[in-house]
Amino acid sequence: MSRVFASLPVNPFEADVIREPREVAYSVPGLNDSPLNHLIAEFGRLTVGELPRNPIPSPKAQLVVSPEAGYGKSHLLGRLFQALGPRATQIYLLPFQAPERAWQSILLATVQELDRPSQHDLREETQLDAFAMGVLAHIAADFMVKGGVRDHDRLKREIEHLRNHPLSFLGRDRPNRGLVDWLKALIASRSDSIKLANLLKTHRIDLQGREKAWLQVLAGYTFSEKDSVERYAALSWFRGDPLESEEAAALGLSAGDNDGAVDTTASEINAMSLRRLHGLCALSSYYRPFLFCFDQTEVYGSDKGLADALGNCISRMHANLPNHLTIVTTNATNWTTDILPNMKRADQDRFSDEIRLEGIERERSRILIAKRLQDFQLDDGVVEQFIEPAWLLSLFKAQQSIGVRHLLTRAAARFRELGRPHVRLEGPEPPPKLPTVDEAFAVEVNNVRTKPALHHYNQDCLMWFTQVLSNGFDGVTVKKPKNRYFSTHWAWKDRAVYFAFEGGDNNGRWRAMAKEAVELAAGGRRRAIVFRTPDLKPIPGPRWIAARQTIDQACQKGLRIERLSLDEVCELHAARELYSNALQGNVDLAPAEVLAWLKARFRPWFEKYSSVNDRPTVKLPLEPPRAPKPPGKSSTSDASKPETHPAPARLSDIQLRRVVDHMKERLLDDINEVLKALGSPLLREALLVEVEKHPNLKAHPGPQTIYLQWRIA
Amino acid sequence: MAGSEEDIVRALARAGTKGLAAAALAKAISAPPASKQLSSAITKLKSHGAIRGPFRVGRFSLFFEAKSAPTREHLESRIEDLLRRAGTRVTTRSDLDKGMKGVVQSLYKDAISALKAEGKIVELRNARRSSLYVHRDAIIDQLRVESGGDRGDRPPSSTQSSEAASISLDDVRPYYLALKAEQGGISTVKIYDILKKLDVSKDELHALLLREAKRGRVSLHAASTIYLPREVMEAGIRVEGEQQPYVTFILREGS
Repeated sequence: MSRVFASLPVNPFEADVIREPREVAYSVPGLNDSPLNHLIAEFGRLTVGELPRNPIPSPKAQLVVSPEAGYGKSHLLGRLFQALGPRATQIYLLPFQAPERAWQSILLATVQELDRPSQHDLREETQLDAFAMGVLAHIAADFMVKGGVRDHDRLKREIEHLRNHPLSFLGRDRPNRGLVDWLKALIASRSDSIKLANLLKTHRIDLQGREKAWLQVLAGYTFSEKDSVERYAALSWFRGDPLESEEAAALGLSAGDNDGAVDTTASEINAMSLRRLHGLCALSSYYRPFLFCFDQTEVYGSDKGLADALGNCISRMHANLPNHLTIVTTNATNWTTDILPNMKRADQDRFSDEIRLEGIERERSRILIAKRLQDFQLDDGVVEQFIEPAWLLSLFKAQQSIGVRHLLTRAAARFRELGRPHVRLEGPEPPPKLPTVDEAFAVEVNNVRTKPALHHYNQDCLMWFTQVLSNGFDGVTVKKPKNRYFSTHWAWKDRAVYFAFEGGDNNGRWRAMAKEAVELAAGGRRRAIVFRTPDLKPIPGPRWIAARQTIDQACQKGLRIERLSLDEVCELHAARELYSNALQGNVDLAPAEVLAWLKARFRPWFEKYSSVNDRPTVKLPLEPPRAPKPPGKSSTSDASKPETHPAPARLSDIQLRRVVDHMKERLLDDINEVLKALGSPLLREALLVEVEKHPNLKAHPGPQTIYLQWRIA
Repeated sequence: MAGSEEDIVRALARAGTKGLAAAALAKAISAPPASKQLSSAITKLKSHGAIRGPFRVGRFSLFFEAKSAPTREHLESRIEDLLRRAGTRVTTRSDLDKGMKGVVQSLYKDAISALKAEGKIVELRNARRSSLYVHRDAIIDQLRVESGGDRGDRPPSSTQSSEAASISLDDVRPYYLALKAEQGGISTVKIYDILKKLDVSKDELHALLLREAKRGRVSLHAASTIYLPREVMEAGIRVEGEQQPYVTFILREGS
């Protein structure tokens, strides 16, 4: 028996935290069906009546409460995503870090979620493609019905079909090129686009004078090729960033509609972000209502300002944004002890009654454990022996139900125990082996690495690094000055470092930032730093001339544009995730211990970024132009080293076939072995992109490596 | 495959509590006995909880439709009946096994463990350390004590028995509901907060909560925040084998 367990390199029970709700693949029948059905019913209130609808006021934020950590909050969100499928535009939101930029963080995450491939529609379409096509199809249909085409009565069936199947009419494979061209021409025509914009008003959709611009940007996004200027510009516009003149021209936007200000304050950016969110929600009268899910809310409890900002955001979403359902998940004592007391009374009233998660009972525990073991092709005899009655009973000696994570932790300990020679099958397993922080961090890094969606620029994570993780390093005082851009300040008596958080690439804004950097860095031992991640365009842009000069000069005077490698991004995101897990009780590690360990682990980072010593400043090289936003594009090399052979973002069909054949044969294998079979270690990131997309492939991150598993769906 | 997943469920439903071996099931739905499709359909149906098995019954490994599958609860009641009928006469394990011929072995073992844990049957040992069983009702009759309404409870220890009688969930409920309302309707309430309101000792409240948790009328929970004061943590219940104390509880509806 022990040989069976010892031979498996992956403990089937160690995956006990859902990092990303879209990874949920299995649910124990009946467990937490009641909260799920409640949420589905609440969402259903937003889909009453035929499309397009007048805006529907949003219900209160639905408060999903776990009696303690590990009852399946994120799992429930995953089930909800699956259950609602293409009925909802699904947005998963991790905690924001700066109260004064809360809306900006929410919008940034929303646009990143919208630009992810949809799980429910055509494989390569994004959620935003589906949303844009849905909106445009209904507007086109309205236009036809209201006199836009002659004899529209004869086209009644076709118009109805367009409304019901916008993706098949307007989808990327373009079966109706004529319709797409006609719609593009309408939107490009000044008089017709005004007529289209006016149609929005008939459904009481108020986009504050930007109706035409919204239609142009939606069309620019969805009717353009991937990696095109139009598509990239549209994403910038949705984020509220200012567009370069050629980008605005590509979308056909007037100067007035290019309303992202170059030189702007945090509060102005915040206000703009809320307007964009309002626009998206208002337009969802035409298609799928939004589902916003605030998860890992325990982080808000670590700071009074954050808890208050969360309450304020929920309150304003409920009051101002139509056509959406907000869900907030929380652990009970975090909520009652750390968050609720720091929230305004009026904001507290914007939450629903608690929707309580239930624990798992004995019979369902048996089903879950059996399923986990069967996923690894262990036969029924082994499964029956693993679920030894006295052992199972011992888990329920105090009460009739327990948290799912608690069950998995105990099962993982039993699995380890049974893997050792000469163990008895009966009775309780020894105490669970507690992970060290090193191990937990290593697993978390590999966990982030397996999820390409987590490799994107995340200003909240960078803020956390500069504001929380850095606190106390070398006697630093962390301040939040009211500068336009450089909003975090590391202060020592003899030196200072400022940080700005900018994911955009507008040359005007970068010029303004460079000027502010020069002002701040004037007078000696000071630095101004801006981080860039591999998914962002390099700064300065290849065709910038005046801005390049300004930035070059600023770099001479203390500005540093720090390009993080993918490895660094993964480490930083893993660090925040691990700390968040400790705060939530998801890992058996004290938050203070984790924070202390992380501070030591990131000491070289602090040393690097706190240094204000002059170093030879090289004029910034002209970087080769890149595709605007390669999906999954990444570089693991040091930013300072030239990349001679950039790794491909995706595997070819032949390579994917090879992976599938290899995994079908091996069932479970080290990723390095799979890469050997592919013939190149450079394909690691591309392979992980495919694993995330493939229904039969699953990644199991461990401290040393990542195991890939072939699952029979 | 000739039969669909629906056919499999239908065939097993027809077989009822007799169940079907894999070969018989394949025959019933006109599929080849060693068909991979059949095996993957069975795996899928099992994971959805529509069917159960295979259970080893005698020489056969049988599948059942979920509703007709043997359950531990059913076996528990059979074991209880057999032991009740035996009265004060002890039943050896081999006699018990004979009386339970043809049942699923894993469930049978589980049922005995459950009955022992719930104090419904008593396991004794003879000089050769073989197991002997007797039903608790027979013992209660002999001792002439009241069994009380809660037959599922393990008899409280001597130190707990006098305390247990002095406090009930009815005493806790008004304070619990007031605290729940104070925290915006969140039903997870701190044991410490109840202790402050109730005029009872910590042991008394712990005994009550542990007893009611076993009956399913209360659920006990560990803290999920690091910011709880020390006194709140110290008011929690420590249970052997659990790393974290239970510091909060939920009073289930209808309890």
